[in-house]
Amino acid sequence: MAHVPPTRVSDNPIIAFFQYVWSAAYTTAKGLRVTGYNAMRRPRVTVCYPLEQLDISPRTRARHRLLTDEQGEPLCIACGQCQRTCPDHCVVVTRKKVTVTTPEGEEKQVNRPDTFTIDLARCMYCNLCAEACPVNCLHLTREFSYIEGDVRALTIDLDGLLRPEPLSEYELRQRETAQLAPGDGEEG
Amino acid sequence: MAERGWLENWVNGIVQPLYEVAPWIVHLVPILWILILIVGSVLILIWAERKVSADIQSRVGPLHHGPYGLFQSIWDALKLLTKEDTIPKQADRLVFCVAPYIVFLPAILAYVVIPVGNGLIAADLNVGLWYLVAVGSIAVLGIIVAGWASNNKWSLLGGMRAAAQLITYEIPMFLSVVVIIMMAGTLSLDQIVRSQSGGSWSLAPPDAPFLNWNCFTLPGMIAAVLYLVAALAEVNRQPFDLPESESELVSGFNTEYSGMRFGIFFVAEFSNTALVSGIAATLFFGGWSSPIVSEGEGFWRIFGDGVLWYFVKITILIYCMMWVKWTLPRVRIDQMLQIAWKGLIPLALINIAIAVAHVAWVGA
Amino acid sequence: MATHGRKAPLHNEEMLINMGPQHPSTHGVLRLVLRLRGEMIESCRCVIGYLHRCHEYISERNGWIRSLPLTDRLDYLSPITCEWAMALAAERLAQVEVPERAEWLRVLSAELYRIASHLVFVGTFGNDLAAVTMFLHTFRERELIMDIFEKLTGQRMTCHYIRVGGVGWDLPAGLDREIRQALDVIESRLREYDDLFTNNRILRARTEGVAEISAERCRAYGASGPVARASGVDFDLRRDAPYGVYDRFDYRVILGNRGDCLDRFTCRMEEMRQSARICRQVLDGLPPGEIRTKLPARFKTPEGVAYGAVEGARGECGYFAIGDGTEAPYRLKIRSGGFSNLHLIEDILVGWKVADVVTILGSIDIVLGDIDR
Repeated sequence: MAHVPPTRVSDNPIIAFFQYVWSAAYTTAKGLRVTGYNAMRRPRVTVCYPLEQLDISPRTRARHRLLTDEQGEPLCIACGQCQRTCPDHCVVVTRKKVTVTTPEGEEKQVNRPDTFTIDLARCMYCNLCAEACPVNCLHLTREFSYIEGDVRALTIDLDGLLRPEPLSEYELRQRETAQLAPGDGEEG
Repeated sequence: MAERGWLENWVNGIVQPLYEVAPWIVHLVPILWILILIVGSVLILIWAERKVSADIQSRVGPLHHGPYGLFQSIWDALKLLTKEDTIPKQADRLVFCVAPYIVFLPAILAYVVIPVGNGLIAADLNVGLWYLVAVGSIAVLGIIVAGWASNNKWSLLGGMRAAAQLITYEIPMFLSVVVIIMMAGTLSLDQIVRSQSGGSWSLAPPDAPFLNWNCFTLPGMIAAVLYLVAALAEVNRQPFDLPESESELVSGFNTEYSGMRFGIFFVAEFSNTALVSGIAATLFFGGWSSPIVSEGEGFWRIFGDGVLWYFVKITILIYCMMWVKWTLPRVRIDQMLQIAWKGLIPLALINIAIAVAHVAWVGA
Repeated sequence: MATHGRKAPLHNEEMLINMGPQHPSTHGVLRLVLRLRGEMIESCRCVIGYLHRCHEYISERNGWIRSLPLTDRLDYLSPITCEWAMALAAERLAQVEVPERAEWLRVLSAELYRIASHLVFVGTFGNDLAAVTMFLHTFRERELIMDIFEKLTGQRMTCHYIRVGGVGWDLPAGLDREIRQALDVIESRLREYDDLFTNNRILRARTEGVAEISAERCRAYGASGPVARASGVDFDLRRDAPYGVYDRFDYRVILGNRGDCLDRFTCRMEEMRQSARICRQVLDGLPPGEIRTKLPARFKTPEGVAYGAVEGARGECGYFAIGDGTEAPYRLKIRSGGFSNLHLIEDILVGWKVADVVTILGSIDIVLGDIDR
């Protein structure tokens, strides 16, 4: 049965009249008590967004980033898994062969991305690309604010993916006020 | 006027020569006073409405313009002034343009007879209360006209609702005011206020500072509640904001308005709110008379009878109206009419009977 | 009665009025064509489709894995519902085993989002009746659940949590305590809502006896969820066609008896309390283990037919799929609760006033993303 019982009034119209008056006054007073109590309640729930920011969850999925090794080279092997799995077709990777020197001193041919673009305007941040990555190189960081005047500027290339610092002055200011650590995606 | 302050001298120095050139200048003084009163109260009220609603809803409210966002309403007014003023093609142009001012008119007219302080009254009409009731109903006319002239179906529905509301809520409002006329025996608002600061007809001792207010008599108390409920409907505030009813009729009568015309509707709503709470303060809560001391000594002088208490009282009343607004849902049109015809009017009639007994028993 | 396709002559006393698609109370882009006489409604016609995004067709092209995140955009107020229904259809088709812990986490997330969705309902219902404070209060409480989902999945609304064969993420450390605290807060605030809104005289006057729907009519229209239960139709997929691990929890299916707007409102209020009960039971008995079955890189469904249906916040949400051995379903058909519930309105609006349109529409609780798909 429904939780709240229906309103019952007397059959006598005179009594019913005063019952209505009483219930209107009584329930209004109860409502006023609730709103009055809420008016006293501190602190406020909302924050003044650009000036203060709430903590962002470490799992937040926002702007992409490619992890690099100690030399600053991307770990990406340009396998194209992310491109294949993307539902929005916003990832485009092309491949090149480079020669690297392993710590043991021998030279090795490896695949590295030649170009790597992600169209942030089309991306829906589903995390499928990051999960598809076989070397755990592609990550979605906590950097959620990237404002551009031109939608084409939202297509980030390899440089942008490797350098997750904020690009615009507005974002720099945001980060200063927010004391936000540079975007670090979740491991695994 | 034994000694004159420097300010008075200074003002006289400017006014005196002006007065000699144009004697009608004295008539501008009350007009200026009323305009300052209205514009100032509206600017503060718009801010207050936002802050009160923000408080109740756990929000922060305006914050950036001025201390605690106090100048937000000024920026809003500037923004409205710079907006494009559109008039629908099919609208009745003249009526459409005039309507906002008709809504705004009663506030200006009514302040003429409201005593803000001891002797601070623009014109003490001996039929002041009749005059108030008469000009008070002009506002709804403007709303009906606005709804009709917009040539929009939503606006029309809003206007028709306003018409029903006008007819219905004038009656309980006036029936509750009648009680005060009976008890005070006068229609002049100044006299009504004075009768509450130590009248002869009340049960309370004549020197008690606030027990003589009308709201501390049984019929006066009931009349105050009835008046305030009817006043909510009169100024279209929740739970009776049916002509506007944002969630049903888009925006009701002001759907088609934009720019400063919309702004004037907004200003009118708040100045009417200030007006009805001012009337309520005058009729039921002793107007400018002080609840602490009527003629204080030294420091207590500022808490004596005067302008301060008038504004304190309307502030409290307006806060209560806002509190109610942000608490209650809206009633339906037929329920609104039912509340008036089946609820308020019978209660007001019973109240008149009580008032008769009260006057006969106490006032003898 | 509704005038489907029948041209009614327009009298000069009647007013034909278009409510929506741009209207503050049509909950999105619904259009209602109302014929009014004064303020009374003579007939009503629903026009939908303004938010159609070809989800079914996109899924047939994109495949199971890649169209799962899109389901969040259908019923955006309770995205877990559609995710679960689609994952369920795929799992039934391919006979994927779901780990125990994943099933429990699915129940937890679904019930939390049911609370969030009902909170939005309570708030928007208040907003329709001009109790704007209710709207902001419920959104304040919903924020607690949104925060939980931000910590759990990384997104607040488009969470992409349920995957084929499990869930995306495990509970982070400390979140169970936070969920318990949030549930406590929400339950205490529900009592506040009762004082502020449910028991209010004006709300009672606006909703009691308004637009009563009989159980027969609910069945005839295929209505489900709280709308049908408020009319006394004893039907809840969680109990009647158990999916996941719902048969292990102790909860009550809430029924109304009159089927008016007040019943539809209070049913949801009480369902929130029941959902909170389920959440607590999940947190008490969450088994350890894997959260996701390892699927092949190219997940394919065999030839066959499967129907995955879950009890969403607004009724039965079902995904009917035909597999053809590829990565995508050959044909996908979505049955959303809101679609069936909405079309009740053409019948029940007749004879009520303009002001009741928003009450009745609000009490049915539609999400146009879910209806138009």
